[in-house]
Amino acid sequence: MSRRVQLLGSLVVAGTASLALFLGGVAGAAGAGSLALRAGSPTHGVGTELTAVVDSAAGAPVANAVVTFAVHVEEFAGAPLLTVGTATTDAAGVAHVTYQPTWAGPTHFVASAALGGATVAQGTLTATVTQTDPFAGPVNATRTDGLIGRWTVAVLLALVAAMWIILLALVVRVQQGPTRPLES
Amino acid sequence: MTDVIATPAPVEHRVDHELRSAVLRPVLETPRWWWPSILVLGAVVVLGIIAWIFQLAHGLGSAGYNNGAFWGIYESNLVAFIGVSYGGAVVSAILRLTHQGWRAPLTRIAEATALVTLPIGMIFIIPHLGNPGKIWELIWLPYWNLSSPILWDFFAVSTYLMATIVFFYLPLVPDAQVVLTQLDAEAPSTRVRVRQTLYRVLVGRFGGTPTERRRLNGSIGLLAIMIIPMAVSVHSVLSFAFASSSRPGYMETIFPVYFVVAALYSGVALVVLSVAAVRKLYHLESYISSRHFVRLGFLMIAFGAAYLYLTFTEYLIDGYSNTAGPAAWVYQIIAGRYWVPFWFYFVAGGLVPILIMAIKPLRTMTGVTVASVLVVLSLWVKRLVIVIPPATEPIVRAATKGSGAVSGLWGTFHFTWVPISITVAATAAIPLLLLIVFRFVPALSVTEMEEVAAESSHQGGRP
Repeated sequence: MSRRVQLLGSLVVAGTASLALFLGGVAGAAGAGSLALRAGSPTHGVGTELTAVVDSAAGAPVANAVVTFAVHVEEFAGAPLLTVGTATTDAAGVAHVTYQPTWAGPTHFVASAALGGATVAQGTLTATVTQTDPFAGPVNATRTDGLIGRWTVAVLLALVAAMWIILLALVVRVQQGPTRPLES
Repeated sequence: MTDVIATPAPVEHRVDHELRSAVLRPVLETPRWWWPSILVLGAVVVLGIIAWIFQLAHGLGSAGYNNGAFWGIYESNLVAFIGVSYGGAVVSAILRLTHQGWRAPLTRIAEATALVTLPIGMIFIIPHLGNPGKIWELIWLPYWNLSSPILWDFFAVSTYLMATIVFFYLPLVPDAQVVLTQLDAEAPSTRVRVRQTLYRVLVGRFGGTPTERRRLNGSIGLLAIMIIPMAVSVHSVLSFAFASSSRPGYMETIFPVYFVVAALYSGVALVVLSVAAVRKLYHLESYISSRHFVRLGFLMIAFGAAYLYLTFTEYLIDGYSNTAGPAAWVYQIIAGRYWVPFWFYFVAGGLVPILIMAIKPLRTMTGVTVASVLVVLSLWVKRLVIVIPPATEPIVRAATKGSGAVSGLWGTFHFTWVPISITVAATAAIPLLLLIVFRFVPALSVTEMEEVAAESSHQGGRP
């Protein structure tokens, strides 16, 4: 637990560049809106809070909008957004989720707000995660040859080679016929 | 060295003529049902190849893989098919080493089952990787990553494949000599000449003298000893690909032994099914009786009971730890989104086979065969339960403010027609390859059966 606290606590928010985009245009959308996305200071053992503030085109808070928070991933083609969670905006147009980082490095967040199923605004944020949950991936990975020595690998490879040699020798031994000098 | 095959039987032994006639007929003459069976099974395999080509064109997404499910059915099939091959080889080795007289009609079928299922299992690496070009990166020396469990999997499985081929080949040598003798008596034709060449290659310079027999027996005995620890180590290494990862559900120290026992359990079950099919198709009822099935059934449920215990142990320890990742994973399997496949395995693959073998009226050839079908099917489902839940465990976790609960979104593996077709094709490939093998090789080990019968009659007992 203590390790996890330490690791989560080392998440660093490198930037809070927010971007408001108009993604309306869906039939029935009333107008443009904006979404400001930011990350709070990391809390030990919990993670960091992602906050989205949704405003209408007139600058008024948008309540009861469903905000979907996601991270951009590059491991898969086709659908690069991985959903973190969803939350509904309050009267001030604010929605939160707590993000627990499971991989390190620059992380690109995307949040989109929807009212009645139609997207009204989207915002992005790039933050840098320096350490992660220990269950999520290798932390300070140590190479096998450094940990247990090259000799172990050499011995294992020799064992594999010995197996192959014995197996081939058995076939030759049976196939060679009755003229084997040692047994004649 | 262990004298696995006893002294040669007298030629005039009663079983000799009947046995040779029954066993060699399908090798020397094409059974009527053979070509239709090959065509039907071959068509299913072709469907699988078409599905794989479709996957090559459309990507792994067409096989149901997605952001939330990075491993799926191919990895399950890899473990399941390779697992059943270990069972076949180890069963044969154990019976040989313990001099079980009743083994004689079963060893060839068990070894052939191991021989055909292992390459089929290995092939699943190709669709699993997505891009088949990555195979080159696995096997080509400059790309070797000796820190990767995958490379050691490759070493282990390929070595085991070699051992399985030799373990199938060695007891076949005297039988190939018998077939060659029969072919020499036939009228010469292209078919006969091709077959004669094949069997001459198999026989080599083996002449069947007592010295050569002793040498053959010693080699088979040594290989039977080698193949048991080899099978245990190989399937342990296969589990390393999971156990050495850092995901809850995969990072389990119990996995090596868990995988080995599962392999033996499902492997014995598949041997039972192969024996049942061969017995029926080749009319070998006189040589394979219900007592063979019942004894294999007892062996099977011994492994089954051990596997149930290991399942209990794994989930108890992970659940008891009450750590977020493992405990959530155990909950999802037992009572959450994966409860149906898990309890199907537990009931159909664990409890029912044990009940069948425990209740005497059910302990019949049919009962053991039904139990084996359940075991093979449910152990495949169990491999899905091992592979998919940790692969769909939330990659990112978050808590909605105020809820207090930390949770994530579980991914879903989609069972599209592509992996299902490839899986069905691989399953059809087992009987397809067995039919091809037994078209060239006697389904029962003729010389071994004669020798065991001679040994038994010499001792005045039943084999």
